[in-house]
Amino acid sequence: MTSPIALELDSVSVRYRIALDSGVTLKESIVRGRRREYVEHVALDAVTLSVRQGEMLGVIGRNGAGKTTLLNVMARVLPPRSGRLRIRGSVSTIIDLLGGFHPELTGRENVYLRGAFLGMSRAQMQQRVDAIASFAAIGQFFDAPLRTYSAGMIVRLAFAVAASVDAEILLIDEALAVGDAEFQAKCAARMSEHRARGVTFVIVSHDVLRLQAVCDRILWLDQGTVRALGNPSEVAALYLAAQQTT
Amino acid sequence: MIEYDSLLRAPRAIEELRELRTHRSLLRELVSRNLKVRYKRSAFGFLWTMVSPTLMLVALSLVFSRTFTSITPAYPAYVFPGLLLWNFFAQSTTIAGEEMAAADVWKRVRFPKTALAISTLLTGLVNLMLALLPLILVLLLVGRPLGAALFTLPLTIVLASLFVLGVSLILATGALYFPDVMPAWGMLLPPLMFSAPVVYPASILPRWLAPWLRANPMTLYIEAFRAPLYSNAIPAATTFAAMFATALLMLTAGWLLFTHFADDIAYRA
Repeated sequence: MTSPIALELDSVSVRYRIALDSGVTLKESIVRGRRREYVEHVALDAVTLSVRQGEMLGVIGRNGAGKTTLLNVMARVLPPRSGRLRIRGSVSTIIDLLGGFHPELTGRENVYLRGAFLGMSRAQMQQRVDAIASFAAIGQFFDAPLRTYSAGMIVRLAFAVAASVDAEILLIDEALAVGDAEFQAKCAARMSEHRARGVTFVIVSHDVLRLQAVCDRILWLDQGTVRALGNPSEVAALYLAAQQTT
Repeated sequence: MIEYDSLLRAPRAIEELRELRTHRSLLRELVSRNLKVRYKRSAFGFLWTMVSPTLMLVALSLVFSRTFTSITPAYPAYVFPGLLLWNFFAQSTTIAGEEMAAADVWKRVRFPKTALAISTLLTGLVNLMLALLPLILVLLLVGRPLGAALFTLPLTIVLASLFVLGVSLILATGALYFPDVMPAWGMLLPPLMFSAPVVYPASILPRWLAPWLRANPMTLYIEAFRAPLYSNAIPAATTFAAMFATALLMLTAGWLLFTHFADDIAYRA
């Protein structure tokens, strides 16, 4: 393992402030000097980690352990409150499916809009739109407004757009990956194509055994900290053992 | 190879400009989205945005045409340009503030955040351009002299747009932190409109009050927008200088303020 580093986090922390009451009005803020009351939630606590180019890193942990926050930091959606983040390569994400979609626009129009949010030009999207339509395989719905879609169809469309972007680093939240077996097989095939091209992967999933089978390393996040990181079968075994004792 | 280092970031105001450049097609797609969403499911489409200024035009013309006839003959031609530019200002700033405060796309995808304000502004500009057609129709109907002074309109519109963008960014920043900013803005707009010579000629005001019109920056833009349309007059060079300075000041303030808070927005949404 001597390939250069694609993603590097050095003691990265993310803290959310969670408002306790319904909010402070401008008047209260000015007249009484009242501040909204918050409790602080540490979503990531001094996480240090690096991912090499071409590597596939799996991320496991319970709900609320900070897995999605970690992906959002790598995607630069959430700037870290402290610590250092370095990225070498272009990033595409399948973290949030609805970002940039509008219910009144058709699937086709949404493909262009979502592509633009991801930094693609109109010409680039024009080259891809047919491939996206056939990958999503939602038939006539492609030219119907998004509000008429089922949840599964929205996922297929979002996944088809994200999978069409030529990124060097792909961040995927698999907790979202619904869809029937056929579509999942198609997604897996697309991912292995990307992998063969040397794309770096970070995948969040609840399916520990699947991650163990495909990943080079596994990261176990627990309450925002790195509980274990390394050999897939060792980390998976630790994680599964801990699950059974609690 | 794209490289990013969170410790070596450019100042936020500069970084935002760079990201707008890499997301060039986003503005176009957002404007096209805004126009489609607004007009797609309505039989009258664009005509809807003309309803309010046209009704105002008719009402004001009925009420004030005789009152102001000696100062502003052909009153409809006097009031219509002002109404349209005011509408552009009021609608663009309100929509930008409300949309950006309510948006949750901040925490869903990485993109240059000012794009939402800029695309709202561009959408408003498209509407203003379309409204120029009925405007010119009215001017011809009441027999105003249209001529070479019209060539100053594009410059005035560009400067007014920069001013509008600055105000939108300031409002959006405020609205993201305080829920009462946009309702307050909605209440402020009517008195603001009457503190600019939109519906009445400035010369009817008592001498002591006239200088106060200048305190409302929209007075500048409305007078410069109206002069070529109403009387084929070219605004003074000092007017353009003042419009430029005001626009630059407002846009710089709005840009610095909004981009300063841009990192925090994903945490708040």
